[in-house]
Amino acid sequence: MVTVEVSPPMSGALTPGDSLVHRIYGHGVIQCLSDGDLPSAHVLFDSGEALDVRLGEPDDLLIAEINGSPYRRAPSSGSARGHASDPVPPIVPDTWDEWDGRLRLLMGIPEGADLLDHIGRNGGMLVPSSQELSEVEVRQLADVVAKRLTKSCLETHNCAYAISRLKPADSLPLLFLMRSIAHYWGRTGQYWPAFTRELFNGHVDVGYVRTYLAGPCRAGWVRMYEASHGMLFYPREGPVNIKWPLAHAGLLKEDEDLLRAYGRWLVRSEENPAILWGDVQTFLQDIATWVAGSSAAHSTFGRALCGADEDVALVEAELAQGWLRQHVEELGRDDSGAADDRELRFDRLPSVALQWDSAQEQVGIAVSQTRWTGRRQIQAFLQEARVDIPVTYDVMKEQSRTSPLFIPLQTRSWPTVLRWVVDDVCHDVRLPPSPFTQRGAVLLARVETGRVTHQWEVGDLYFLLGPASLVDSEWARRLFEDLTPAGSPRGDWQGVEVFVGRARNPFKDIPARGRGEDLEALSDALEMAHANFALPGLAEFLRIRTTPVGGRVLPSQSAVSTAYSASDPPLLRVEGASTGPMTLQIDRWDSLHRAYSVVDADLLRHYDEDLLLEPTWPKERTGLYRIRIDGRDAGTFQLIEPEEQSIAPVIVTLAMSHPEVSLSDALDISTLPKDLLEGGTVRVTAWPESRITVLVDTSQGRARRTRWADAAGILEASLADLDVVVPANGPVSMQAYSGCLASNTLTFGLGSGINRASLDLARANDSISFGATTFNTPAGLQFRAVVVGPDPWNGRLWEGEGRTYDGYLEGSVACHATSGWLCIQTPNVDREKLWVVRPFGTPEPTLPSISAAHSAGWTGWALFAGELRRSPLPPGLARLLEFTRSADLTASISGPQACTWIPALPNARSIAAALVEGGFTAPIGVFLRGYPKAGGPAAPLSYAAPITAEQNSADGSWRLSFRGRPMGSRLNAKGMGFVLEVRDDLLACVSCGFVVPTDAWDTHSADGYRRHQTCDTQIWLTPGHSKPVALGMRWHDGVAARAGLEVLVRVLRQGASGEESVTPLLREIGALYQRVQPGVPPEQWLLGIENALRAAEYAGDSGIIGDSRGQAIYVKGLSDAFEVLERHLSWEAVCAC
Amino acid sequence: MRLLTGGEAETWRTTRRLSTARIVLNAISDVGPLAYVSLADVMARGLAVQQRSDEFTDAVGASLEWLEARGDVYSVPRGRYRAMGVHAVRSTQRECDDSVAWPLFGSTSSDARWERILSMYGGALVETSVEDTPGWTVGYERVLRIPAVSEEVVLRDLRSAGLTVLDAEVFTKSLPGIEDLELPPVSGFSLDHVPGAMEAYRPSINSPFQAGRWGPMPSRGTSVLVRTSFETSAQIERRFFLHREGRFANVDRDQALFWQYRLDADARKPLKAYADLPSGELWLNGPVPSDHFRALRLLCTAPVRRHGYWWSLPLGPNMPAAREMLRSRLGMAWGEEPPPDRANRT
Repeated sequence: MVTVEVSPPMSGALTPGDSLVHRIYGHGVIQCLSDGDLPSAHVLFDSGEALDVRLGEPDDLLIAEINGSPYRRAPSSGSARGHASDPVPPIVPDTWDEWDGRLRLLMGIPEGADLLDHIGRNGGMLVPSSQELSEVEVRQLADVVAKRLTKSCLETHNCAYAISRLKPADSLPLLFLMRSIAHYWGRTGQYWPAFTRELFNGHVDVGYVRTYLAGPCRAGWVRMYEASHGMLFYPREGPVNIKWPLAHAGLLKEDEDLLRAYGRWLVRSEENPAILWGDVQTFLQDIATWVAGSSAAHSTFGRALCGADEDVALVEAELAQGWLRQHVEELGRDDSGAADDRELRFDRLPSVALQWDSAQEQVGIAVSQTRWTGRRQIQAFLQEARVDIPVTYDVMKEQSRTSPLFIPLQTRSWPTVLRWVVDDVCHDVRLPPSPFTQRGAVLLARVETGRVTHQWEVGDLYFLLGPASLVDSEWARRLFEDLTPAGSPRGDWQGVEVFVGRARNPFKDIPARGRGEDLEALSDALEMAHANFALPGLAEFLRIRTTPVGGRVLPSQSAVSTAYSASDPPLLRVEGASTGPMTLQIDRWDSLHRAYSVVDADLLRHYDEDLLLEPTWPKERTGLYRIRIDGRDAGTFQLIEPEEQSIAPVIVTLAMSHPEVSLSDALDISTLPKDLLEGGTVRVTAWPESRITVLVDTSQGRARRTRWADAAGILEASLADLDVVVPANGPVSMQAYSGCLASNTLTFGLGSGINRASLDLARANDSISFGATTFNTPAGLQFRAVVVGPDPWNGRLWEGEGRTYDGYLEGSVACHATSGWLCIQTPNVDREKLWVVRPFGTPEPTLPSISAAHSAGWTGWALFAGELRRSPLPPGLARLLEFTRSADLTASISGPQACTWIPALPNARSIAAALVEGGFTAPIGVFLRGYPKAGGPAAPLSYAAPITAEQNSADGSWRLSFRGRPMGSRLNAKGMGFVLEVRDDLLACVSCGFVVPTDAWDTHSADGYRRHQTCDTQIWLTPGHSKPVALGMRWHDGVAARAGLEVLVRVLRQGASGEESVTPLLREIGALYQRVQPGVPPEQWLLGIENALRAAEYAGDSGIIGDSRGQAIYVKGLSDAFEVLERHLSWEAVCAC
Repeated sequence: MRLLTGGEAETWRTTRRLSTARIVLNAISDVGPLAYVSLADVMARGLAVQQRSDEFTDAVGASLEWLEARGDVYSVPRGRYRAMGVHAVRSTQRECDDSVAWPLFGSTSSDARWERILSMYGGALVETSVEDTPGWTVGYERVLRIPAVSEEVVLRDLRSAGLTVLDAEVFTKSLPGIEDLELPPVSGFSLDHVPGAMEAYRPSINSPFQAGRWGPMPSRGTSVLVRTSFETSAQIERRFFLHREGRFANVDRDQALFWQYRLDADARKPLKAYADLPSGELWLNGPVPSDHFRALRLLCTAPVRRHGYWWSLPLGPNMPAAREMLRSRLGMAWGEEPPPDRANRT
């Protein structure tokens, strides 16, 4: 315990609880008083020091203030302490040495202890151990420092010299003053003005300080760093001269409170806290976004993180990141504020980062996904341009989610904010500023992720975006090897080139002798690069590095850590100079306990060469790992299981599309009208970016054209794009190749017909007349023309005729239609085919009711529809035919829309549904079961007895029988009904009767669907004539229903994306759903249904219920889906037969 | 934590080096389209090599060449490589243990899935590394070994699980021939601004291998196929062009190779393929276009080997089919003799 003394004796005037300010120890409170030769007080100072203060020794000058009144040395006359009214200045340390002593005590450095040793043992920060200097004290310190630097007068040109003469151990007052100025006034981004004001009281120009004093001050910090053997905290982010004081300004208690709240959110959120070990820039974007959405946005620290000064924000972010790393486990255990989690976790703006997409050769903004409570309308705008954001609504969790985005930047300067609009409320998301506003700027991006970074690892590859001249620059030569051009960004990025190079160790070229000078030069080069381009500084090369090597690298979901396969994990490599033993430790993040647990640790003795270590992995390997050296973080990585990727079939297909004609896959397109070639588009599907050769054979020979597919494996081109001229005569056939694989062949018909574009219609009250030019068509032929109304079965089908002339045709149809389709058939009496169809009056196809199929007009319409079926049709008429076919099918089997097969599961509750028209049969016999539903025309019939499918061995046709009687009249191999015509490869399960797309098979038989794990006997249904397929679902124990509904959602999603064959069902479910959530597009509520399905359970007769976690799971969408199905199908219990 | 001794570390690095082709294919399969430099980076990190080593970057290049020739990867614009969609080719050849072997191509990401299915029937996914220069491998073969008795059910299961299984005939049925090559329309560009030294493919040089037939562009040249070479510190980058009336059109390396055979045939200077009948091996003095190489290797009875620039294809009884293919599609000459002094070029 230190004893200090004060005079004159004054114990009588004091009582315990009185305060005093000591010139060295700062503020304290008197604990107790004692009498003795001289009265003394036991004082507890705010710094934690407890001292005995003797009151009465005449020559001491140590007390500055007692109970708020100045206390000064007693004058020789021996008068008592001064009074507040006296104009007596407070007694404070007024020499450099006194301040040095005061500051050491403030930092908790024991008397006689070495400053530099102490820094090393206390986290490397130049901060007080408890209370900061007051602003008044900082100003007093500034006076002393200014005097020392200017020799009592403002000879500012001497300052730089004086600073450079300071030895590390003697520079504490200056450095502490710098960090204290940053602490109080520097976060506003105005560090040097504050420094100038406090130190020189405005008598010196701030420009002079920036130019002449900033460098020596920085050098003072670097000297301290070197003298501490690297133990002083070396800030890696921020502007080179002010990052030191800003970083060492430290965190306030309220800052730590903010970080504690953020940290709690971070460790409780679904993500792991890998971001704490990643790039500071990425971390800054994340925390700034979080802060912006919290009540701390307006705090000093919050403003520093979210403010416009990116440099200050980076320094603060690095500090915050380090603090969070130290406290992450403590935060994981901290349950306080758990109630705020929901608020914290949701409704956050996205975090953003700059990214170079080397595949697309574009610079852009990577925008993270976001989650919002409730159903939200979310839009984003970059300046005036709207950015498409896919938003999905999760019904189960009642949250809206946006997917990760990449927004390409077309120019080298971009807006400072991304406007994020949620339900008409605008938020500004700060974007990383463009460095290219200054000449010679450079961006550094990791090759692995493309993310712009401020940190690097020697030996890794990086992209550099900057001027072409950078390859010749000194710093680039020292810092990179194999720097080679790698293109230039797309868009208006003139003057910016992309290079790729490997970060090299700049010490490699420096010989052991004469290292000092070279190091000095190297240091300058690195600092220049660091200052001008925000590249890593010298310190990056002075630390021991531990990196994972080997193993199987997998794509990482996280931008901050590399992922390795858990079955092929990496080794650890330790490189760098070691001066003694060190502890290497690997920890794994335990998401359950929200803390790291030690996986493996070892003590490494002195070594000279790089080391390779094989960790002992835990039984459960997957997870986030961190590497620590002597308790300090040294890296992070992940072990993950490789994701099962969807497997695209290796196949080449060729198709034709036309904007006016629906060329359904179901169409027999072995021959097509040749005029479709005009304005049509050839579509080849192969594999991504593959080379595709299209062969076009005409009467004039063969044309072979080679083009590249896009990243989705699709090539779309018109014949004009392919430089193919179609001759007037003869058929045209086309085939595509990629590699050795050939596509199907499309053949376009003989050269006669109508010039589609010339068709002209004239409507009168009771007729439609028309005319068109023809080619290669003889004159004098008669042909039929039919007008189809939107509901042709209601007597809205009219027939007329026409005649061909030399080079043209004319005809008319007597009708009263205001809208519909005019169908002109070929003048071939034996086999009429559709020549051309022209819609008029914006016809909307009508969905026929089930009773319509039994109406008087149905037969005629069905007959004509059959003639249309294999012709290219406009989309509206094609949809009408789909409706018709669906109703016809229903009528033909006298039941609901269709059924698929149902197994004989004892006591199972079974329902079958064909969700799209078409039905199916399969190359095996199947059972269809059902029971009549009680009452109601909506579901008139189902089946109480098995329906069997039998193949006729004579003609190969399939026949469905119900109670021994054949069903329908057109159930042959090529007719309609239960004929297998699939577009995609399908699998049919013999055991349970599921017919699913191949990529859904895993879902069907995945874990959790126990009853179906034995579904190992499948039927592979390969594409035939590409008819829309019947997808089956059934309902027996909830498990299968779930799988079936997943298929349903998949099918409906096709409808939502324009697949017309499922439109009726989609529309019906959608109409019901819209009552609950109007205005929501199908893509969103379908996802909601899908998600609901995953969490729902089947509870016998109670139907689908939610799981125990919440009532909202029994969602409207799901029940709506069932409601529609129920109406279409039979939902009665089925007993095993 | 176990500290690897110096010897163990060296063994580990050697093992990694021997797996170069597998690592390269895995990286392309797992991560997506990757450029050469990125693959070199994967290898450098995997080997814990801090500085660029010509040795391993060359090995990466050679592995890519092998994998591309085999059909596992393909090059796409901007110097990147993609993994081909995974597919197997159904072979009717029986192995001595009464199993069939179907070569597997393309992405390795789902290999575990095929292994699971095969193991149910006593089959296996067999991997083979093919050595080139000592200490490095360039090749990597994958074969599905299936008991013959289970062939049909395994086929069904593999297809159910998403594997495309093709018949070998599809690779020969549509195989293009040199007569199918057509010059592009005269709408290309001039080469004034393309950097690098320009060379023309000149069969008249009459080298026994195609690499030796590239020579300086004749001053008044009408050469159809030209290339520019641009040397970077990492590698020599080459671009190929078809030349017509002073205008040039880009072609990729594989298409340029195809054109070389066409020009050889036009000049009546075809390359010779050497059939070593006693050993059943066919020797090719350089690469053939990837489609043709795939078709050839489907005729092989064992993994293809590479010895420097020479390719050795163990064709056994399928030699006549190979002869027909090389003659009719690539216009090659045929010699039934061992290759002359191939060691000089290894």
